[in-house]
Amino acid sequence: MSVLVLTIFLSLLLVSLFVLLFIGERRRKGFGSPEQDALLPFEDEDEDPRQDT
Amino acid sequence: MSSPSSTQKVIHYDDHYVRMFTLAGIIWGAVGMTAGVLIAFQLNFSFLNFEMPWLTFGRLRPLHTNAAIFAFVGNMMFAGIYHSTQRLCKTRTASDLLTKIHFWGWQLIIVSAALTLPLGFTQGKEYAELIWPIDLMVAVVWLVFGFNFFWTLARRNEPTLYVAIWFYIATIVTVTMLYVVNNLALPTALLHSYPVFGGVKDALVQWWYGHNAVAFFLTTPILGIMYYYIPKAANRPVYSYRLSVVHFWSLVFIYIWAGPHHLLNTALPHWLQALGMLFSLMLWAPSWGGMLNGLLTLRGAWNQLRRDPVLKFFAAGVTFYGMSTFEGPLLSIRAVNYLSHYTDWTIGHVHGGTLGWNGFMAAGMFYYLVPRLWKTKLWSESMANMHFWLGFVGIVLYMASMWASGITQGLMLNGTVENGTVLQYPNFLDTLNSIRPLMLTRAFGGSLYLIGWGMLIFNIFKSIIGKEAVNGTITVEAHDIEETKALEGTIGARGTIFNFPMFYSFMVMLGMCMWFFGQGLVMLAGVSILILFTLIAIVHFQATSARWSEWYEKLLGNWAPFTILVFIAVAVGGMIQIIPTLVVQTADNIEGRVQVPYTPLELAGRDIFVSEGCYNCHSQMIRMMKPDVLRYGDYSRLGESIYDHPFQWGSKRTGPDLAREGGKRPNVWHYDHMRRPTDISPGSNMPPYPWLLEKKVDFSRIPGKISAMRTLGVPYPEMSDEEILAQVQEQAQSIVNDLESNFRAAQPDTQIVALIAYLQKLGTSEDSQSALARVEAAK
Repeated sequence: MSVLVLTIFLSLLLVSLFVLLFIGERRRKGFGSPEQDALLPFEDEDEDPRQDT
Repeated sequence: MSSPSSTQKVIHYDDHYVRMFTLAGIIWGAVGMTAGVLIAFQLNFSFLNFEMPWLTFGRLRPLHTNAAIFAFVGNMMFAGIYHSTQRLCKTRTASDLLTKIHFWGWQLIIVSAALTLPLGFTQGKEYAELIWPIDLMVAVVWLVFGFNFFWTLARRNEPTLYVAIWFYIATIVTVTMLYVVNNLALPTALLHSYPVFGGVKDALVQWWYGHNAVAFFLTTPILGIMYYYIPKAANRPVYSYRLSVVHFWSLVFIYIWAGPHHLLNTALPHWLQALGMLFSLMLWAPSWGGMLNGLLTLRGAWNQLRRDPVLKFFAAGVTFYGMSTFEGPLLSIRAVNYLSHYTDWTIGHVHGGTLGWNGFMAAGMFYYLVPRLWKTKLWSESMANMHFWLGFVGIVLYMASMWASGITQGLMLNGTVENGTVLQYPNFLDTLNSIRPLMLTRAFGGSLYLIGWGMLIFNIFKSIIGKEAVNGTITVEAHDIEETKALEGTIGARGTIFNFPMFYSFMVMLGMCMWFFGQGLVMLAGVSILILFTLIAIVHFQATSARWSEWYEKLLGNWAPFTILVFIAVAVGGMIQIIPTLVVQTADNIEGRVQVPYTPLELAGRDIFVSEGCYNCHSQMIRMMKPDVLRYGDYSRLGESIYDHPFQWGSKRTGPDLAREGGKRPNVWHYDHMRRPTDISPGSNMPPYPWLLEKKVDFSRIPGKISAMRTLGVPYPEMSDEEILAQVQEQAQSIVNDLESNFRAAQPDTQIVALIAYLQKLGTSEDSQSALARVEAAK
């Protein structure tokens, strides 16, 4: 039974930690440059007739 | 298109080989799927083996898996990588020649595999069946691909490496490592070799490879493709770029450890099984992080799914990724594996991944690429939608029937009565025949999927026929080029290794290793270090996240340091698994029993067993489970297969386990059974092997094989070639005499005689001390 108590205690500790971190993350204002990198696939490109060798 | 100014540079992409890889992927996909449907029907109707050696299930199943993995997904992946990397790096592929060598070299490999596998030339290891000359070709072509890829990164005109590129880097680095190590072999002839690892070592290396072939050939490149093409198709950026950072690093680090979950409930040391199970369960988090990141990228675009087949395929593909990566860890739980292993459940799981994740992502990417590469519209969107629904129903039928089949057969095989002392279904065939309707449903589902693929081929053919192929171009600004150059080299070797993220990762790893491998205080210290440094790292990151981000951004501008860190992340797990494999054959682990080496004739018989692909249906591993022991005999000790190069533990029991087959039945039973299995076992779906009664064994090659085995550490006494051949003749003649006394005719040098010799040896072991004494005496 003591294992059960310990497991529940540690699990709750981890859950609380993750909830706190999540709240902290949500409160953080704006996003850093990593989110700007998400725009990389959207560069415009043109088309050229095939120039195969 | 306006002409570029002096500060601009126009880049012409090489899309020719993107088109070539696309077409190759589409065609080889059809080949792989057709082979799959054929073998699915063979399982129901054994006459479909046509009594022809090169059309039997045992030889075609490796063709199916290799075609699906390397030919279909391989070509699809290369198309996606070449197309997206050029655009993400804003540069043309570094060398057109290397791309050409890569393309034609890869097709040559596939054709070589398609010829050699049905002819029975195999290494006898799942997904690593290709013989050593083809392995060398794979290594060379893969290095050409890798060199060309990294050269392209070095010549890029975009400062930052996008997340898709990270996944491509992980693919190239890890597949190189896995493929080389798992295929280390000692050739005995141009088309034959023995793996350098044997028994449990071979099993661990094989499943370290096999599991991670799924991870780094079928998953990471497709994740890269997901991160590029879903945002493109949905016209919105990926849901969370930060999540992709976590997804990438946790996935590549954790995946590599999970291999031993393929060997659960065997005599493998418990800690290794626990490690495999634990890391498999941990994989849930990054896999689902990635799935959610892919699906949530479609936020606000769900309405497009109704009409756009590309997004439909992508959304379903990512969902199947989520389902497969939920199911994988589930099957890795020892208790679940007890039921599922060796059954169709695993087959259903694998096909959820290949048909659902790989196949649908491939279809989505092809439908996206073709109109852009040929400047046209898709010939019929309705047909593409029809393809989607046919394929979808096909997968659902396939997976559902395999779940039902696996669970049914698993329950029947494990069912006991009389307080667990007697098997409820002692006849294996009863369990096979109970799942026949489900096996037929699977074949039907696979056929639907194949018909859908046929629609894709027709649709794409009609779309591109007579259309102009176009290559993409882009104008790059001079400041982008300068910024890229300025960023390269800024991090240096010290900056790569000596930084806080690396330091904390190292400490957490140290804590984990002490916890796993230590006892008492060391273990306690390990848990403390793990928890302490995880918490410190979190607090430190919260306080100085800007500096950490700055470091990571620098890293993204330096492809070589980034690649080194990826290599470290994947190599750590590999090393911790490989090093124990080298010490695992200790006296404790072999439990006092050692395999008796095969006689020369038995070794020749074993080569026939491997060549015919018998391991595709018959395992040689009795697990430490009551029902297994009741059905097949005492559980298999690790020492009982240590001279098996390659190991033949198997992964699926379409037929019964053979680990203790030796001596159970007379020679004449095997003779009749191989000639026509249904005569002996009515209801069996095993194909007949009548050619074994006719085809000869080349006895002259046996001394060379014995010599190779001796080199690999099998304790054969010194024997001259004449002595070996005399032994072969003597044993063959005794089997022939026995068969003749039962009114069966056989020549001593026919394959059936060697195979019978091998089958009758299975399960023969001796006390390890007496074996040692015998070897010493022989010296």
